[in-house]
Amino acid sequence: MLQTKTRRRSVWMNIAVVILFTTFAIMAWRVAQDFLTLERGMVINRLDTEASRLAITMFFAKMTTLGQLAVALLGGIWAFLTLTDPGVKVRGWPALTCFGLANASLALSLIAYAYGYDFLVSRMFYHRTFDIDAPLVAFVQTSQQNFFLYGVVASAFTIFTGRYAS
Amino acid sequence: MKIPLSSLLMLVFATCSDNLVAQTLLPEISNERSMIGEDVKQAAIEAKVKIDPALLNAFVNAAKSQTLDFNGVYKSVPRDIRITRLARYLSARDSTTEGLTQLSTVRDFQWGYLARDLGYAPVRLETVKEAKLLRIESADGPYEFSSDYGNIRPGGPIVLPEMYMTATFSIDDKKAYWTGRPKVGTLQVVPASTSRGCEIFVISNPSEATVLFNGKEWYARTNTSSVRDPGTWEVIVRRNGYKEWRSQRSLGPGESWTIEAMLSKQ
Repeated sequence: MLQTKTRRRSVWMNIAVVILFTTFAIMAWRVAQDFLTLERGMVINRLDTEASRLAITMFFAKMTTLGQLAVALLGGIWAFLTLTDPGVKVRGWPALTCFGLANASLALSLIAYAYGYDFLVSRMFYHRTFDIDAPLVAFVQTSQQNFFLYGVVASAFTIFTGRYAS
Repeated sequence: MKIPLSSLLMLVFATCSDNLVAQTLLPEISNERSMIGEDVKQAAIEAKVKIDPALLNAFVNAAKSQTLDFNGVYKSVPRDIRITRLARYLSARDSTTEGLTQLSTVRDFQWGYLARDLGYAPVRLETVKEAKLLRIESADGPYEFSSDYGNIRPGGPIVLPEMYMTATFSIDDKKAYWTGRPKVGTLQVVPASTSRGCEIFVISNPSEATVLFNGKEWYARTNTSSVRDPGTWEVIVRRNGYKEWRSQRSLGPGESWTIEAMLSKQ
């Protein structure tokens, strides 16, 4: 009875990991496609009002906070798995896949942040303009957020599958 | 020292032939000048404007400096038509706030325009700094403007032929293009505020039209603007019930392109 329950649990876990991996692959492929064909233009909005300057400050603050959270989560999950002995072992393909996916998605979230930050700062410096509705801004924001959320989910799955493996 | 007889003969022949050419051409050049001068005088009478001798002289000299194809373009147009077209220009020029000043009158006119039945639009140049008109590209071909004619101040009047064209301005050593059909009123030329990218401003009549840059739909509708990477940009303006408008231009860093797309009904 217990064996059947465990096997059933294992099957569901494997299916969940496969779904997780497939979702990541599709998401990464779509982001790569969008990045290659992305419209990099921006509507010219002169940054000459206090409101526009405040909006930009808030926009970058949000991006940076999310970036810091991604670094903290990435560091946290590595510290949790290596420095402590909580009964979670990254062993077997489901746990390893989830761990790899968590690392990859958090890294991609940070890459989106770094690229977007540099691009937007250079646009503001050289072109004296910032467009919060521009396709590129939306792309950077969405990619950073989606990869971050995905990283959180994958980290949770790593712990779940790692506990099961141990 | 012996000088060969053949060399002496050649020298005598060359001197005589030079004189001969000069004697034949001088009256012709003089005739051309007087013919153009007479036409301008007659056109001024037809346009009911006053034209002083200094302006007349400058106007005639401009024909020469712009390498007017006298026997081709000029003589191919019958005199009465030439005068009517010149009169149209002088009248439009006179209606501006500057009037028929020597600098602006000579600056804004291209003799090649006489070959086409054109109207002229006196417009005020809406720009932030002084601008120079460098070139006009139209179906007639390009017309270069001398940069010696000085700058056009912001809000200053300028007379342009009423035809679809791309005018190239120079503002602070940055090139600013304007594409459209000038009409009486204002002509807006915005210099790019970027030194790395280029800027495109799209104005359409009617507005709220969809814009495509190199085939990709732009998220904002007209009237809109965008900062882009330098390169060749094809702009398409679409609106239901109207004919599609399209144009293409290569833009370098620091260049701007203002488009005034007049959409005509299908």
